[in-house]
Amino acid sequence: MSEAKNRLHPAAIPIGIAENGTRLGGFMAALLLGGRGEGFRWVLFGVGFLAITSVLNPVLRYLRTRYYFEGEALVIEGGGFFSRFRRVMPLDRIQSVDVVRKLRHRAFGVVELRIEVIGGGGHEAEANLTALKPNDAEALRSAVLRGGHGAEVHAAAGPIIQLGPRELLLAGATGGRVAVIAVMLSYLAQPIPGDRIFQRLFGEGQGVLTRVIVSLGAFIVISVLISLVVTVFVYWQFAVTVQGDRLLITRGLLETRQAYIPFGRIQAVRINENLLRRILKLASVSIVIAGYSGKGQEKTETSMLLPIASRGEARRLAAVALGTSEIQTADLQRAPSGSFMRRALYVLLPLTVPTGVAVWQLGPIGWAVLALSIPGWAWVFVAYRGLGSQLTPSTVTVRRGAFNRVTSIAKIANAQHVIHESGPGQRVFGLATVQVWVPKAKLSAVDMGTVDAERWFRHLSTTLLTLR
Amino acid sequence: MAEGLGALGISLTLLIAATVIPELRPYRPVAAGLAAALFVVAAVLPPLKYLRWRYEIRERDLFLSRGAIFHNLTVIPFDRIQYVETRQGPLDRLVGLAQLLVYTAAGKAGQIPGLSIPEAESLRDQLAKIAGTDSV
Repeated sequence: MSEAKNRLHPAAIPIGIAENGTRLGGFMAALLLGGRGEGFRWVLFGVGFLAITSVLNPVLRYLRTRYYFEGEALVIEGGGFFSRFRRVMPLDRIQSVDVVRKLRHRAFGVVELRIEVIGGGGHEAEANLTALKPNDAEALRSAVLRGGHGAEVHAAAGPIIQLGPRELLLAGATGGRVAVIAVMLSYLAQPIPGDRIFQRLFGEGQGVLTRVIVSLGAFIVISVLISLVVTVFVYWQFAVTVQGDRLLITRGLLETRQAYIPFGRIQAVRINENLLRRILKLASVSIVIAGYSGKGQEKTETSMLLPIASRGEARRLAAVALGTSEIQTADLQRAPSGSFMRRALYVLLPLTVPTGVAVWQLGPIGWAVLALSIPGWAWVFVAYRGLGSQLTPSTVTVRRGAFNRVTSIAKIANAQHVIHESGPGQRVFGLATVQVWVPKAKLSAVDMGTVDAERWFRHLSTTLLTLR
Repeated sequence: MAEGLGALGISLTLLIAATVIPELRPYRPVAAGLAAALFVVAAVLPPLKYLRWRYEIRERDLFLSRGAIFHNLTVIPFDRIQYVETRQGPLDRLVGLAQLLVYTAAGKAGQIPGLSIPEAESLRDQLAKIAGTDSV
């Protein structure tokens, strides 16, 4: 039997108009500014049509949207200009309900509810209720999650992780590629007697080089500042709380979010350490969630479990997310030396022909072309040192990355299928790769010794049949 | 077979282009060398791949072995199979063959090409029944 049908808050209309304005405003302005001349009246007509539909569509959506419970399912009806829909979501298929509050929601004292279902994961959430009173949203969220998983949502004891402004500033200053480049440049520049070299090599051109370096420095400083500001805004008051069988992640300054993620949906955990964070013994943790929507930066922010913390804290939270005992990442099994030899050979091979041509044309000095492989070998060595793997009765851990190290951990019970792969170069050096596929991710233990790879493959193949 | 035909097609195109287009004529020896290499690939690779391709329906999982240059072994437990499907490309239809694709929650887990149509459909139905899913 259906319950009474509920409607959105009337603020859905101005919020929808504001969202359309944000999406289309720039496009319409560009049309108006650039479309003068012949046919400008058609441009005006087009812009006018877009403006009218941008206003009418939210009105129609507000008038047509209804939500209610029907038996063991949540039903959402709605539609805009061109189509109408009726979406029936069984409560036991709903995997998360997120509460979002952007600036425009705050202006009207409402929130947005985003509902994800198992098997979803496109660019948009399965269902969006764009404007609800906070009390109504909370009541709906509780009813959905209680009904879907059959368990009361326990009151939280308190956050297990909470980040203050200091941690956020650290995350912003050490995150992203810009900070890493700044560190690398500073290390490289230290032994170089810059002033003497500038004067000798460039003479009158010194001014140009100085300007380039100053510009580059300014670019890096500005990029770091932007990274700081964005990180603080996106992860303001970041907190992680355990609520029964799910995690609650709250964050955001201008746009606040509350994401409810059932533990059972977490497929794998990634501990990310860029070069700067490795030096400072810091890391961030992200989770791979089956069926979570979003694209680009929104997906990155949604899957972020911990923007910054010490390595120990990162491992502790990863273990909580996976529901395992403590995770060890320091004593992973390293790749055999054959892995380095193979990669070094791949760096050397492309240089054989140019070296041969150089020796033929220039004589013995042509062998100096081989020196071009040295940076490649350095990179290969760092990447080789980054490889690591570990297999326990219930989890698989793999690590890779030269400067940006990523350690991925998954429960074997989440694995869907296993692949043992060996290329011709790997077979020459007695190596192989084992891939463990979980929903939305692949964990690759690259360049394992042949014996270890076969042992992994046998163990995983057997364990997959017994674990669920 | 598709890769072999593709390699053959590219080698013939290279040879013809180097012969017909005046600007490319000085590079005829290079084109001939590339064409010869691709011809060898077209002749050798498909039979090698055919010899290595194996599948086995075991008690509780599907085991696949394939690859001439990159050797690949795959294990797919039956209870992880989400759905199976048969597929026919234009070349498959030309020679009366089909391929079987197996999907888990992690995506496409494996494929068995070069099956006769009755064999592909029988295998599809068998796997779907064992895995407890509906066939596509």
